[in-house]
Amino acid sequence: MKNRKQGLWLISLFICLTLCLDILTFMTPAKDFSETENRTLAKSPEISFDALSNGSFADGAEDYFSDHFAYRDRWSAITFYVRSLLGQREMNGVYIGEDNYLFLIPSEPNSAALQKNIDAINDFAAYRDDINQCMAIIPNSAFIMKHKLPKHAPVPDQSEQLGTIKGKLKNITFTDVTDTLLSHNSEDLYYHTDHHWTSLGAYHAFIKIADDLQIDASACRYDIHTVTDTFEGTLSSKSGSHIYKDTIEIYVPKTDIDYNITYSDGSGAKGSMYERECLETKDKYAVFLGGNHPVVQIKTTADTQRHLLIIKDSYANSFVQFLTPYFDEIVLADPRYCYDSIETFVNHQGITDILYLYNLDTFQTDTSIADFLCITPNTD
Amino acid sequence: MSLSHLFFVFLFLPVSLILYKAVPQKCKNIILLLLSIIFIAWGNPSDLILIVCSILFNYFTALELGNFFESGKKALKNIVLFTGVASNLLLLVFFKYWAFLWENFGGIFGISRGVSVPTAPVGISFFTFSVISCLFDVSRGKEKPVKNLLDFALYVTFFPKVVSGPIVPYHQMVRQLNARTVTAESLEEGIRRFIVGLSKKVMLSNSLGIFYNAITKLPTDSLSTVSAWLGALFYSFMLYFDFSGYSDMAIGLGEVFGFSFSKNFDYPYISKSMTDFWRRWHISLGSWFRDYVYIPLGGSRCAKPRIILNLSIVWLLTGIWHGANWTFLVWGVYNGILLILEKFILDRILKKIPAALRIAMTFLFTVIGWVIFFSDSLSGALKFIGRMFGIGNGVLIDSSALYYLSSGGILLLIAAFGAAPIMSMLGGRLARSNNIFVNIVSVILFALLLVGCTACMISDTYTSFLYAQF
Repeated sequence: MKNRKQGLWLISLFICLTLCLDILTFMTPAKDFSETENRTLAKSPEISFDALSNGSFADGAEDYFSDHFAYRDRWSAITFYVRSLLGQREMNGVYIGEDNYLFLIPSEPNSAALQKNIDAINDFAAYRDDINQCMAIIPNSAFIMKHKLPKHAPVPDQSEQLGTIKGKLKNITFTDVTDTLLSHNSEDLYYHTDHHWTSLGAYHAFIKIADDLQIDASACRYDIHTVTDTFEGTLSSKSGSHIYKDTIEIYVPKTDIDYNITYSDGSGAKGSMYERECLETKDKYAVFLGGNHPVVQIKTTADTQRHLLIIKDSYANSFVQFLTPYFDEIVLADPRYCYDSIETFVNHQGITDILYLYNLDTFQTDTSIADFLCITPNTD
Repeated sequence: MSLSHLFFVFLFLPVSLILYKAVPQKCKNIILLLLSIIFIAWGNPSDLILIVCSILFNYFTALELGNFFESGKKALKNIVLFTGVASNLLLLVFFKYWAFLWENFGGIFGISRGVSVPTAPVGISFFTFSVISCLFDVSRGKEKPVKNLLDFALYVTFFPKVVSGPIVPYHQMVRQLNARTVTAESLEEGIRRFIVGLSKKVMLSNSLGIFYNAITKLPTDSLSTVSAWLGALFYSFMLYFDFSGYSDMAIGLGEVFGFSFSKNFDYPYISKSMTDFWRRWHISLGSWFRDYVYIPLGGSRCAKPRIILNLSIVWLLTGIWHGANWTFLVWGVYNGILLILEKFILDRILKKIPAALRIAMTFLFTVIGWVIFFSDSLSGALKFIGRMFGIGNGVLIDSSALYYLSSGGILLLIAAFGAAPIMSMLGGRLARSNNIFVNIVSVILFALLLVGCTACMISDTYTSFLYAQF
C-alpha cells in the first residue's frame, strides 16, 4: 500500500505540470510579434477540410503551440545555463566569448550572389564615373575582437575575404578599415550582446573613411551622450544569455549645422535622427534612425553643394551621425526594402557621392544589391 | 507528430493519459486506437489510407492462416503466407526503394528518366515488419489470430511504437491486447522511462548533433585527424541517444498503458564483440531478422558455406532496411563480414584478449561503421575514414579540433557515462527505493529532467530572426 501511494507522485506531477503550462499558454493573450526573436509569431491555425487533409493545420497548430508556449523566452535562458554548464561555447549560432562578449558566427558567403553584386557595382561605377564612388565593408566582431572569442573558435579570415572583394572592384575607392579597427580592439567597438558596432567603432571607421570621401574630419568635436545602459541585443536573445547589459552612446557633432530627416515609410520631417521612443523597446539599437527604412533623407544646412547617397545595411544607421556636417543632403537607401532603382536617386536628386556601407557578413550574403543597381537605359 | 515534440509531450500525452484513465475498461482499446489514428493522421491524413488497407489485408490473411493451421492444410497455408509476406514487402519496396532501384538499375532497361514515388507513410518500415511477424507467428501456430479487427488495428498502429519502433513482434503484444493491467508501479516506471528517453533525445542527442553538424560542415579535405574522430564520436553517441531515447519513450509509454515491451538497447557500446553488439543494439530488429529470416533459411544448423550465405543475406537486408542508399548496403555488408569473421575465424583469438581491449576494439569497429552509415556517399565515407587515420591530410590536430574538444568535451564525457550501465544503475536504485526521503529526491530529480527537456524543446524552436535587423 505504501508503494502504491508513492508510485503515483511522478505521473501526477507530470500531468499537473503539463496541464498547468497548457492553461497558462492558452490563457495568456496571444502576442503577434516576439521582440526577443524579432519575428512574427505563428497565428492560430484555421480549421478547414483542406487544412486538415494536407497537414497544414497540424503544422500550424504545432508552431502556434511552441511559439506561444508559456514563458517561452525564459525557457531559453534555462537551456543557456544548462548548456554552458556542460562547457558548450556556442549556442544557436552565437559564440559565448570572454568578458560577456557574444559573437555572431559569420555565415558562409553566398559566392554567386556576391559575384553578381560586385559585377553590378562595377558596371554602375563605369556607367556613372562622374560620381565619386566609395565603399567600406566593415569586418565583424568575431574577427576584430578575436582575442575575446572562446579559445580556438574557428572564424573565417575576414581580412582575406575583404582583400578578395577589393581585388574585384573597379572604378571605385575601397576603404579597408580592418587595421584601424584592429588597432583599437581593446575598446568596445561592438556591443557585447548585439551584432552591431558601437558609435565608437563607427567613429574610428569614420576617421579612416573620411579621407576617401574627401572630407576633413579632424576639426570636428562631439558631444557624447549615454542614452541607455540596459541594452540587451539580438545575440543575447539568440543565445539565451542574459548576463550583460550594453550601453549605447550617441555622438552629436558640435556644429551649428541643422538638419531635418524624412523617412520614406514615416510621416513628415523630424529634427533629430535619434528616436528616443525606441529606447523603451527591446531593440534599442533602433535609437539610430528608428531602425531600418527603405529610404531615409537628411537635409542639412551645411551648404557644401555635395549630395551623398549611402547604399547600406543597418551598420550605417549609427554611422550617419558623423556625416551631417559635410553634406547638403544625405540619402540612405536600403536595397533589401527599397524597390526603386538607383537611377531614381542619382537622376533626380543630383547625387555627387556614393558610399556603399555594409558589414561583411551581410555583404557576402546579400541578394538585393544587384537588382537595386540594375540600369534600365530607357528611364525617362 | 513526434514523441519528442513539445506539442506531443504537453498536449497529446496528458490528454491521452486522462482519457485512458477516464473511460471504462472495455473502451480502453478503442480509445487507444482512436488516439493512434489521430497520431498517425495528424501530419499527413493520407497515410491513413495505406495503413487501413494494410490492416484489413493482414487481418484477413492472418485469420485465414489461422484456419489453415488449425485444419492442417500445410500447402495452402504456405501459399497464403508467401502471398501475404510478399505483398507487404512489395509495398515497402515500392515506397522505400523504388526510386533508388530505378535510379541505379533503370539504365539497364534503357530507361533514363526519373520516377516520382509518393512519399512513404510514416513508420512504414516498422509497421510492415510488425504485420509480417504476425503472419509468421500465426502460420507457425505460435499465436492465434486476433478475432477483433479493432484489436488487430491497435497492434499495428499503437502510437508510441508506430513511428520509430521498437518492432514489437506479434507474439509479444497479442496477449496483452485484452489482458493487461495498469498498476501504480507500471505507471510510475513508465513515465520515468519516458522522461529518461526524452532527456536522452532532446538534451543529449540534440546537443551532440550540434557538434556533429558543425564538424561535418567543415570541408573533409582539410579535416584534421582529431576533428574527424570527434565528428565520428559525436555521431556515434548522438545516434545512440536518439534511437535508444525514442525506444525508451515508446517502451515507457507502452508501460503507462499497461503493455510490456522488451528492451531495444542494452548498453551496446560496452559490447565485447560485434556479435555481442548486435545483441545489444536495436534488439527488436535483430530478433526480427533472426526469427523471420535467419532461422527459416536454416540458421546455424547447416553446413558452413550455407551459414555464411544465410548471414550474408540477413546483413544485406539489415543494411538496406535502414534506407535506400549504397552506404546503408555497404554498412550492412561491413557488419556481416565482421560477424562472419568473428564466428568462424576470430572466435578463439578473441577469447584470449582482455575484456577492456575487446570493448575498445568493438567500439572502434562500430564507430567506423557509423561513418559509412552517416556519409552521403561511399567516396565520402572512405575520405572521412581516411582522415581519421591521417591519410590524405596528415594534420593530427588543428585549432578547430581544439575548439570542439574544449566546447564539446564535457558533453562527450557525459555521453560516454550515459551510454554505460552505471547511470541507470544509480537511477534505478534511486527510483525503486522504499525510503520516503529518497523517493522525494527522485521525484524532484525527474521533475528537473522534465524541466530541462522542456527548455531544450523550446530552444530548438527558437529562431531569432536577425536578418531584418542588419
